[in-house]
Amino acid sequence: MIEDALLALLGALRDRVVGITDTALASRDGLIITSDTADIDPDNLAALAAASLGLAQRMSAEAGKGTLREATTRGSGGCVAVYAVGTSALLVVVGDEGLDLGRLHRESRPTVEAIEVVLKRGQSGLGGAGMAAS
Amino acid sequence: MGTPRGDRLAGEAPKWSGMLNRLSQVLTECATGKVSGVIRIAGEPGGTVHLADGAVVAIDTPGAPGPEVLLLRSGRVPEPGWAAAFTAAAASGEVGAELVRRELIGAGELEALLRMALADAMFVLAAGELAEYEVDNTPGDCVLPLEPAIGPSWLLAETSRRLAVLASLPTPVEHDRDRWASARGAGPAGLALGSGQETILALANGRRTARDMAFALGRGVYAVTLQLAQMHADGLLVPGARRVVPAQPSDSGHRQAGQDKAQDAVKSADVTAGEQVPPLPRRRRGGTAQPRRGRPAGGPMDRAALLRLLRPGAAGTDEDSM
Amino acid sequence: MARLSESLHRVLDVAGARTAALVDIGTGTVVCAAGDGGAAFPAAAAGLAGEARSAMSAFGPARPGGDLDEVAVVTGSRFLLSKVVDSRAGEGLLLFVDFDRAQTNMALAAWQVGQAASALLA
Repeated sequence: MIEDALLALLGALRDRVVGITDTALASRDGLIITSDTADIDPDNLAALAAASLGLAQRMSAEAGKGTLREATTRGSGGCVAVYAVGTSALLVVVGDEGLDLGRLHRESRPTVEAIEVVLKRGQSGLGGAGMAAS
Repeated sequence: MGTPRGDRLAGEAPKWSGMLNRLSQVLTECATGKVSGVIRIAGEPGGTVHLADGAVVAIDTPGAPGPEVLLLRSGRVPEPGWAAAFTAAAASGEVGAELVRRELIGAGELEALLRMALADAMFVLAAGELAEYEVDNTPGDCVLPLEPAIGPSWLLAETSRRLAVLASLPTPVEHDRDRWASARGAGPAGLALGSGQETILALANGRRTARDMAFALGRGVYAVTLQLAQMHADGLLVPGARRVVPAQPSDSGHRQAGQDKAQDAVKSADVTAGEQVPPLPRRRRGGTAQPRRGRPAGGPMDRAALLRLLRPGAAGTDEDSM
Repeated sequence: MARLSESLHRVLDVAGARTAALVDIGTGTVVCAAGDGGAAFPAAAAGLAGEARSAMSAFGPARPGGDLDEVAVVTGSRFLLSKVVDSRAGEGLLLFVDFDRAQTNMALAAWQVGQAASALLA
């Protein structure tokens, strides 16, 4: 199943980069596609991530800084990074204070690409059924 | 998951001592050369060793909580106090002295905490993997440097001791791989009261390693590891899903590492036999991503063929960049 | 700012003291030491830390007599005193001093170590 493949990709990213505590994949309009979270509410996370990514993209454009790479929020207890996945989805990564953001930004790119591949597979091969949020 | 760890650790001991030897070599060279700067270690977890005149002042690593986390997460110093000291010390850069001046912590206690943080960081570096390292003579930024800085011998000896203690445990715990969940029925009755076991149980949700719990609690990774081993032996904890980390490429730039990671990402997606997955696009230098092939016309794509495609050089050129 | 090493060296001024060390209770790590403990000292320190941990958990949070204060080990020729200087759940720090019993007045030494302990982390 597509969702299993997506969850596997999220789980593999969490394994690979030490410090990641939760991840989620959402649509650009803020609906959760699938998530690998513990105590965080995935629906709230998805909605906020979509808003934050949209805002960050507009800001990047307004400031003449080109294509947005990631939108990162840092708190005293850790951070949240949001990446665009194609034009229709986004990836949220939550980490603790030990998360190395530079490393995360490098390591997340293959995951974003792989997710894109899986999502396109889901959209194209199944007679237009598209992605169902569940 | 119940797999025996003894065999793995028997094989691991040489790896640990190998890593420790490498670290020892680098640190000793830097001590002799009175290097002031940083040693950047790429690996798992990797990190940065800050040196002043060849002595160690700090180590930053994702693998172990640094002094700021140890102070704040444990509740030892309240956040507003920290923030005020940090701001006040912005000019001088001496946050530690400011904390002491404001009586937020004693000088001796802070020194003890910084030494323990160093020991913990060195331990996780030595128990981890090193892909490559570089010595940079430009001093890095350091919020809470240890003063007086210490030579590497105490750190290395203590690390060696810790590795030996862990290797000899009857129920070994890998601090950065094993995740823990509370055992069914593990409740207050079974706990050694006053030992902090209840905070560990509250964190044991099957997703956290010893390292993760250490960050959450503001405690040392090694200390938490010892406690987890004991709680596991006492039947309070059961293993959760182990963290699977691809082996570090030993002589690779980002370019190769990126391709390996994409390959791993697809592998780990556990695509079932019936799925067709088009190959990941390979970037060409100076160009936008070009798919290697179009989507297969029909029939399941052989996963082995997909992976062959992703191997560097398969296209006849490895002039690709991520 | 008194450094740990200097503070521990001052403890050696107490009659009969051979080794003085700050030991982390949770891990058995010798954070800092003064005097000649010998090659076996780190292992001995780790053992002492274990004793302190056991004692702390034996009393439990009810702590009818208060928190653990010190652990004393007396042999024919030695007096080993571990004074808790910082105590948290299951961990903390202790000031360990190894005395030659023949040269030490144990009660006086314990009092002097107590004085040093309260200033050690300041």
